[in-house]
Amino acid sequence: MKALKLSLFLLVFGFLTGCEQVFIEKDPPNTPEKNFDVLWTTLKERYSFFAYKHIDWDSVYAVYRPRVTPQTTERELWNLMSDMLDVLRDGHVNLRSEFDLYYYNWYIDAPANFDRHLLDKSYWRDTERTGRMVNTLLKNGTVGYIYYGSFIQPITDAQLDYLADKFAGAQGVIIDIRNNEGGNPINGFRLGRRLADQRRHVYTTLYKNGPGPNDFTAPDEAYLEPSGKPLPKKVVILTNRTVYSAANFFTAMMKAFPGVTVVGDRTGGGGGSPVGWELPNGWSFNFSSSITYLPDGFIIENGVEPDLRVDQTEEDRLRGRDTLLERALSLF
Amino acid sequence: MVRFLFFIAVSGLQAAFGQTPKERYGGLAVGSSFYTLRDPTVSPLTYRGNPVLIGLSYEKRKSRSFSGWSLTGDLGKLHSKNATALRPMQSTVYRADLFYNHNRWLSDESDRWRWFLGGAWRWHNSIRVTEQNDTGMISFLIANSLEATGGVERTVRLGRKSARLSWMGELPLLSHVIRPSYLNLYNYIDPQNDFLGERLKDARIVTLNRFPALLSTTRLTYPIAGENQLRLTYEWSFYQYDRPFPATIGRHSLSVQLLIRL
Repeated sequence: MKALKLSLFLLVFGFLTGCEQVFIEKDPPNTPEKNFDVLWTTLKERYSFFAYKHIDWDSVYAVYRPRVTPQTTERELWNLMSDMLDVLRDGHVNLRSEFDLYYYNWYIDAPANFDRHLLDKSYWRDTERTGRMVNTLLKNGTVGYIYYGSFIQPITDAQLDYLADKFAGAQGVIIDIRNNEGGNPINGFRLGRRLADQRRHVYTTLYKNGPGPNDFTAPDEAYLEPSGKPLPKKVVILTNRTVYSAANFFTAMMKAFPGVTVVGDRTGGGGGSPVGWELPNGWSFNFSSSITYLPDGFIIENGVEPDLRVDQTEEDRLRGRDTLLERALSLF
Repeated sequence: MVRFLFFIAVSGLQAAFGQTPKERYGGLAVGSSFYTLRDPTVSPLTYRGNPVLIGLSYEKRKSRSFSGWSLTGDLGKLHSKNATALRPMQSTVYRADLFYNHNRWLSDESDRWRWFLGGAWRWHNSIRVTEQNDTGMISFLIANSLEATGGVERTVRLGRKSARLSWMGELPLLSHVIRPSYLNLYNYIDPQNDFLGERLKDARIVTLNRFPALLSTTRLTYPIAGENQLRLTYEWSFYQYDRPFPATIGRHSLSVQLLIRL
């Protein structure tokens, strides 16, 4: 009886005092080496595009890890990590601290193909701003035009209803998403549903679901179907290389619809869902974690090709003409 | 295990229908918790902090049993020890627990140590919002558990009044646990994504060995004017879960509760 009471007392005492610290793993040390290792290992286990980009991440470790020592300063570590991340050539990969932001500049070597001042002067004088969508009717009122510069800015169904009414008699609509670096894909879905003619398979996605190089989820086929008051079904989407992430997904998605023509430059890409984590020193980082491909198997990580490749010409610029927009208008 | 569950069910039914109500109380609690959170869906580091605790309860004591509902919650920020003003390393915790327990007294009221045994249902919702993780900022553990409960109570003299000191332990025998996916990310690039459906697909039904979630509650209940009561509660909870990465959470809380006789 005494032993039973003692056992019960010990059990109760254990509960009362709490002993969870015994079960909690110690924090990794906040050293340059450990911070580097956490970044490298996290990417090795969760980054989705090593095979697609033919990157041997172990060899990257062999190049960069020996350069990290206990004496490595914060700035040196930052520069080294940035150099290592640059190998991935991925705009969804970034490193963030209070003193700097590293990201891969995916559009720097491509032509701009977008001149806001020129648009303001030559095309946007008589426009409405419906939410974040600059819109008007061009070509003597026969072609609708919507400029949507960031999917970070939400659009509503009421705004799209207004535009559907406004463009009801138009031959078609130009959706200008140049310089749209992405944001929330929901905004693209909302707009896309007004442009869709019927339910169509738009792309397929695999997510990393384990640390091994081939650990991916089963393919998830994404479908888009029409909903709400429709916009005209003949659609031209204007793109340049700055178009990225959610705007890249929007372009990819719209390519599934037969009435859609993409005009301009290849989009910048960003075909993996970005996800974030942090290092022991408090720096945060993002990386791509999925692979999306079109119904024909084309992976959209490095962008979506236009149907008509058009660049802004200097001659047109001097005449106050937007070459890409003029080419789009010529399709109606 | 089946016999044990059957015993609890029979005991509960006997206790519920075989006696007359004795005392009913509605309670309001305030206090503070201390968290130790090691969850790799939040950070590679351990986060600690002191969220505020609030709670509502309804309880019933009868001659052969007692039972009650409670809704308690924590709200507050946790940090890593490496956090600085410029690197907040911060996660905001939202916890809400809905709890029902029914216990049967195993000994008479006159006994010095009055043991009890019973069962409980706990719906535990713990959501952590870690903004620096960007699209992976929301991590969670949601568990619906059927539990065995047991403990002891004794009367102690405090000044000129008799107070009740009690301890109760909880063990989840069967739990339905929902945790984030491997990437702590949902399929937001699918126009027809179904957040709830995806989460339920990730859910598992597990036994105690897979989800050791222990909870210990120590209470000192002191009578005050108008047959009301004041209660001081110390709670310790601890759980581990291994999906998608091993997560360990320890929590201590201290609260004061006003119980109004109904």
